[in-house]
Amino acid sequence: MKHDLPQGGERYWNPTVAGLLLGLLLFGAFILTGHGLGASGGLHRLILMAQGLFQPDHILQNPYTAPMAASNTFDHWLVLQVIGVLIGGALSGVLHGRMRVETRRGPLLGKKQRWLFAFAGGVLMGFGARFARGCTSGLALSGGAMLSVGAWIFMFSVFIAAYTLARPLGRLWTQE
Amino acid sequence: MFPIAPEAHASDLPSLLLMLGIGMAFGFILESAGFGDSRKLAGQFYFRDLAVLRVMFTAIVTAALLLGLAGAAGWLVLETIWLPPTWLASALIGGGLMGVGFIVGGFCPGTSLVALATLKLDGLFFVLGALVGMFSFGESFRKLEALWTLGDYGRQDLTQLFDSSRPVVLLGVVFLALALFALAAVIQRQFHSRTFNRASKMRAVAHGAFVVFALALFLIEEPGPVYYWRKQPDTLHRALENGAFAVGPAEALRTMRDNRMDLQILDLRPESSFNLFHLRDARRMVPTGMQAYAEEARGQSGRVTLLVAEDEASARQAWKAFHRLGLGNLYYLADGLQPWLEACGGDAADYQVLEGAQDRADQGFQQALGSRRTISRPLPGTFDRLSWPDRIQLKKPKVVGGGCG
Repeated sequence: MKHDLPQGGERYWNPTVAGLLLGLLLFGAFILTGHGLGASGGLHRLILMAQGLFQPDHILQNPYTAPMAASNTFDHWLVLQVIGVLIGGALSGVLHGRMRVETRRGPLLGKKQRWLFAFAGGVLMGFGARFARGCTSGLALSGGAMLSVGAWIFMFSVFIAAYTLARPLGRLWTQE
Repeated sequence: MFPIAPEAHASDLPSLLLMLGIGMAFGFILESAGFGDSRKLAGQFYFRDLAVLRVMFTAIVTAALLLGLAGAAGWLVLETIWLPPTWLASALIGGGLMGVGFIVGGFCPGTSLVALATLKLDGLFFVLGALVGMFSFGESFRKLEALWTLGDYGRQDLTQLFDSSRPVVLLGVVFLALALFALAAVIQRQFHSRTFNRASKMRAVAHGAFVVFALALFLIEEPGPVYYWRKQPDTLHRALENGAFAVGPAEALRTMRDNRMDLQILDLRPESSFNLFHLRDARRMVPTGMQAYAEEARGQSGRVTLLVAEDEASARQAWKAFHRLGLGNLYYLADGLQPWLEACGGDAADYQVLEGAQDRADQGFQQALGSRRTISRPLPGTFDRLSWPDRIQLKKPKVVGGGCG
């Protein structure tokens, strides 16, 4: 089985072209809004909105969540951007014929196993993104372009951790 | 000129569309690049596919070079742009956790949204997990706070770290990116020659352009505050000269007692003068602290900043510097502290206007009592005899702030 190929015959944009366009967008976001791109902060505000329905006082007593919960969720640019990302992603999916229910997984992994690992990885990523004060979009891309020292340390930290674990967890993504 | 920085308000249609539009373009690019596919993303770490590295670093380099150009050309004051502060523990531990999460889950938060949008179930489970992870961080925040705030270096960029100019750092970043691309390509060719693509013409052109662009930035001198001020419209020049931002003692005192305004008095005089006497709740401000203050104050609604300096000229100088840093609702105390002290000099037991001390009003003080004097905030009405036109008009802040916070 030649399952080693990452793309199941999908045709994606040339990475250089995608990178140039993303860089232009990032620059545009900076000069129009004064800040770059972001994702994790928007997601966090959405979960806080849900939590606020049940425990409004609880979030307001927490010094971390209170400032995020204080204003209207949909008034924040990060939340609007997250919604935009969903729409834009779907649009591209429709245009490129990739809009179908499926589970992308390594060759040795069952569907349900993949869901479990995706969930676990998501928990780590969500927790880590909040700990890092930003994710790949808000910190690595935006901070990297502004030459923030913290963003560059963060970037290398992500890559080093991922490369270190790639072999031991090879079963998740390769045939080994 | 830039940033235009509209307030993100769902009720304000243009800003709503702008924020949504930026997000849509972001999502569209991510999906088109193949970042909705966890196998492609994970492939980066098995040297099968270098798209993650290429897209990310190409984007960073492109945006960094354009920002460098915009700053050098004077379209943009880079100090007013959001720069994620450096928190060492956050970057190392948070980054490490995310690296683990990437291998285990196959996405990062932004890409998982795109996977979800194209109905990939692994994306859905990842997003659910991320929400749970964020929720648990919020819930365990009090226990983590000490670790989370470790290694706070504030706004710190690579030019400061390496103590070099922006073009030097940018050229370094370009070469670093090209070196990483080359290294990754060599490894990929070694282990996965089947997925190895020879450099496209596009790639070669882009990489060459990066180097040329970075070199070209050496030719433009980065404009300083003088250049910035020269580029400001004549109306602003005239307004400042005509004292449109000079607040008299009576209005300053009224504002100090006005709870609807969030007044911050910044005292720019030397430390000894500050210790002898300053206005109630004034904060001493040194030039190196201006950037941090501007960042804190920008976007705080109701914030009025009042500068107190030795004299009119240095007040205006500081006013221009803060204006460049994007600070609104900015005023200075007219004629320094002289009118203030003269008007209520008699109320202070240890104050007398010394002969020949006209240039330094505070020289009349015998004791370094700072603001522990009644005249630091005298009773309302003290200055009513002085006639100054009212100046302060509260304007809404322009910038909302930034980052993933």
